[in-house]
Amino acid sequence: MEINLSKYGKIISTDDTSNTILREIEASLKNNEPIDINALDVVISTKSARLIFGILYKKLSKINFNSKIHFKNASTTFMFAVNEGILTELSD
Amino acid sequence: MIVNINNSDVGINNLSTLIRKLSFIFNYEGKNVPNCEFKITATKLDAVSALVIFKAFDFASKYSCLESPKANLNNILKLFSIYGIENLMKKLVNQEEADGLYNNLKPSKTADFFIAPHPINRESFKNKQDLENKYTQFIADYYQNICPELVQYFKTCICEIASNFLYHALEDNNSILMAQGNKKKIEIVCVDNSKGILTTLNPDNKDHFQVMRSAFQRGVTSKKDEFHCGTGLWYIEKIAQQLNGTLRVYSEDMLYVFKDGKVFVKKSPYWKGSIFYLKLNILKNTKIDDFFAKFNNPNKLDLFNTQ
Repeated sequence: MEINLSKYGKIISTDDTSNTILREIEASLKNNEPIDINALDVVISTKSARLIFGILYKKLSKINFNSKIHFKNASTTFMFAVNEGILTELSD
Repeated sequence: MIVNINNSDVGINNLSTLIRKLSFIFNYEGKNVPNCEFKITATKLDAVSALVIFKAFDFASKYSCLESPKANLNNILKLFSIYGIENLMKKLVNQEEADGLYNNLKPSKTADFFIAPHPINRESFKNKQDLENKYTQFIADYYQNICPELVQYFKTCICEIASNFLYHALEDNNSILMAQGNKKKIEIVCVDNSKGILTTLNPDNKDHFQVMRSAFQRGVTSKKDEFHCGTGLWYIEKIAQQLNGTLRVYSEDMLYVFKDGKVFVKKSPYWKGSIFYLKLNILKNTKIDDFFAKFNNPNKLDLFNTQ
């Protein structure tokens, strides 16, 4: 299963978009299959990364997150934001 | 009172002078002070000076600071037409309702450069969606053949700056984000009249130097419980560092400058809200990816990314 983030825009920065993406990922997780998050050409704000992946990481825990959520074509800045979002959420 | 603004008052290096000339507006809220005249005789206007003057007029109009101010409109409209905001400026000088014009801002380009204004309006979902799609795509397309490896960083800066202004500038619905650039550089500017960084971050701390400096440290935010990370300003400064850039942020009575690899924090003439200026140089063979990759700590989170 693959979720192509670019359908939500090349920049993900608003709460509305972040919440929509989070809902789609959570719905897809119910199938119990790993999900590829295709982030080709997509930039994400650190806040949106926290709202989506920070919340998911905390909810799923490290082992489940990494077995079910695989990033694909993510740029350095995208992965930086995801790391920052998750680490901030975990520290909160 | 006559406010003269000439060539020696505009330009990024004269911004403190320009703020000093305009900051009286913030003391006139609701006072409808008569007999104020603006003589803007500068022959050219950079983007940050344009937005500072624009926001001063916006504040004066919105908060009834001046009674029928006079201004040399012909020259003003000529100067602001470069940025596509002359009609907005005319409305503000005449103290007329201008909200409807914000949605008409459009980017433009010539053979040598581009100018791209965009409204930052917290209430308008359409503006936010446009920012996420059309606006940044316009800038990405411009640089795709010039420096494809840096496009993600330019988009990141716009994303973080817009996010900061959208979610921190709660009292100001009429800010404009302006990007302009050419094959050698990109400049990104945003100005607002909302709460400034000092008031937002730590209103009780009288040590404004310390508060302003801390705003650029990683993980410092007033809104951690609202899912902010406190990374934005730190991140932008690090991108500027990697691209030999300049960052100047005026907020309330403080100025934060990153230039030539050094940081200066100084007192500034008072500006209600924040003025944000970022210049990034188009450099070849940077190690910017390596720099940021080292912050992605795979051993800690074990995230899985394939290309």
